[in-house]
Amino acid sequence: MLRRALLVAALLAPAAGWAQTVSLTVSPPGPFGKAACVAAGNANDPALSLSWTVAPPSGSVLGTGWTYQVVALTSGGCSTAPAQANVVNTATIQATLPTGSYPAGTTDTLHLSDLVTHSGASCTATTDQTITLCVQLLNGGSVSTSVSATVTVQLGAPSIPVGVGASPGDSALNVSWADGTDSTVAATSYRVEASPLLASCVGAIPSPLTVACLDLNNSVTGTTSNHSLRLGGLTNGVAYGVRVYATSSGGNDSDPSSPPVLGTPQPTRDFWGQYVSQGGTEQGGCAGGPAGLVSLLAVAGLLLTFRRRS
Amino acid sequence: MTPRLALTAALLGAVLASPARADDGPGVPSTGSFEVRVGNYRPKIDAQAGLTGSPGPYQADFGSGRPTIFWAHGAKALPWHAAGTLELGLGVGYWSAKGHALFEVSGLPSSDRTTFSVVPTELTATWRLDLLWERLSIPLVPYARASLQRYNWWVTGASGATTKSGATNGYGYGGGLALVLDFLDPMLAREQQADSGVKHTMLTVDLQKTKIDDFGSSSGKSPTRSWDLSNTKTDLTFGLLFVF
Repeated sequence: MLRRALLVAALLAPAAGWAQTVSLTVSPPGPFGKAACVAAGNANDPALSLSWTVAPPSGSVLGTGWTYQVVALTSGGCSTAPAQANVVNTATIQATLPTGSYPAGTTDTLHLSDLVTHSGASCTATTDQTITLCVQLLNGGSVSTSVSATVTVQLGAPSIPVGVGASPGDSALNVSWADGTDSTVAATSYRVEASPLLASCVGAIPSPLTVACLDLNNSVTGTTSNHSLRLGGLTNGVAYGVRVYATSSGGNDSDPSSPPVLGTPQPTRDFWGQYVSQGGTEQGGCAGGPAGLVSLLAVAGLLLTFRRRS
Repeated sequence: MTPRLALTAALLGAVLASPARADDGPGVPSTGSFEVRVGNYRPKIDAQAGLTGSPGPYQADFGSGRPTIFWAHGAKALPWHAAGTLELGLGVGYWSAKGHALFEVSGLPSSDRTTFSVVPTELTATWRLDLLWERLSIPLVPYARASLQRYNWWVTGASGATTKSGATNGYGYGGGLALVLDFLDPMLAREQQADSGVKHTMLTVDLQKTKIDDFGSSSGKSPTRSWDLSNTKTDLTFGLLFVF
């Protein structure tokens, strides 16, 4: 069945000609957050790899005189000639390709700042910026065909987490929270930050706890996509102020939950520790085990012998 | 060691329960069986002599529940068939209890989690009085069973890492009653035998008394005596048995 399908596909492929799929892939695809929306030359400006396949119209032959250009737009389509300001990059197609083929897997490398600049998008806007990225195949300056993709610059932040709780664990705090409602931007992960209290506050902890009491230079953080996290690496008996940030898919952090929640890790015993603390004398391991295991395997071997004879 | 042992037992069990030939007719001795069972289990850890404080450590961490235990069991019939069928088999199971770690100072439950898990394995000898069904067409098959058992266990702490593991050996004995489902639809039973080699399908009620304490060392005076993983009650499990 599979062979038959492959045979039919092989026979039909040449006839299909220009009907082959065209595509444009941007890597990484985004969305990109506020921290990535920076001026050219900034180290945080992400490099984008473009890879596309695009075909000229039926009957056309690619060669000298044909060019492609990469265009960035915030409005309008890819099928018309753009304003010169929107053109990010151009190149001439040197090779003469036979009728029926097209330049597959062509690539280019740009920066996000190139797209923002040429599309007219703004990094200071309060709403997400969606940039349409076009690769246009030109013949004599006219757009012959094109392929497009979108890149989103996410400028909003998720809601501030609410209902934060911090229960003591062994050298850890078990922190839980809920999503706030002050933003429509979805949170895709959360960052939990526990900061030890400054010595000046330990004797008289204000209620509610204030950020001024937190030793932010010695914070311990953890991330999760859930609404709870066991944040380890803390010190038993030390009071911590806990804050939670929500993070969007573009990497934008919300403001921290407020006020900080107080939590103090305490030593605990798991089941084994509890058993030992109450005088249990089981040693674990296989102290009495090897003989039992050997006997089990010996009888299993005996059973297999029976099986072969029957 | 524990996963390797469980895998070995499961594979051996599957190999032992080989299907019979499709042309086996009624009255032809069975060649083996495969069974799945479920029941409830609570280890008798808190009954160990010398433990201080009340409640015991198991009760303190996991409460009074009796979590479900699952068993899979494969057996090979011996070439002997007089008043019934004698089988030797291997079984493997799984059981886990989840609870909260306790604060060292107050002894109260914390938000840290702890688990106690067991993969029990067993070597069994089962005598099944199947003549009631084979000769008298009474769809009930009583059976008796004795076993050597090895409970492979491990404890995890709040981080999910294993804090202690080991194995405790013991034995069990008991019996049960199987209801032969073939009588509900004999035609279907014959088709099933022709298609899959399953001669009989039975519902089982199984009662076992276990003693899982490394063969009595838990009652000794040695400071390294084992704990007792026997069930606090007689093991009552319900299962589905396929006889090949």
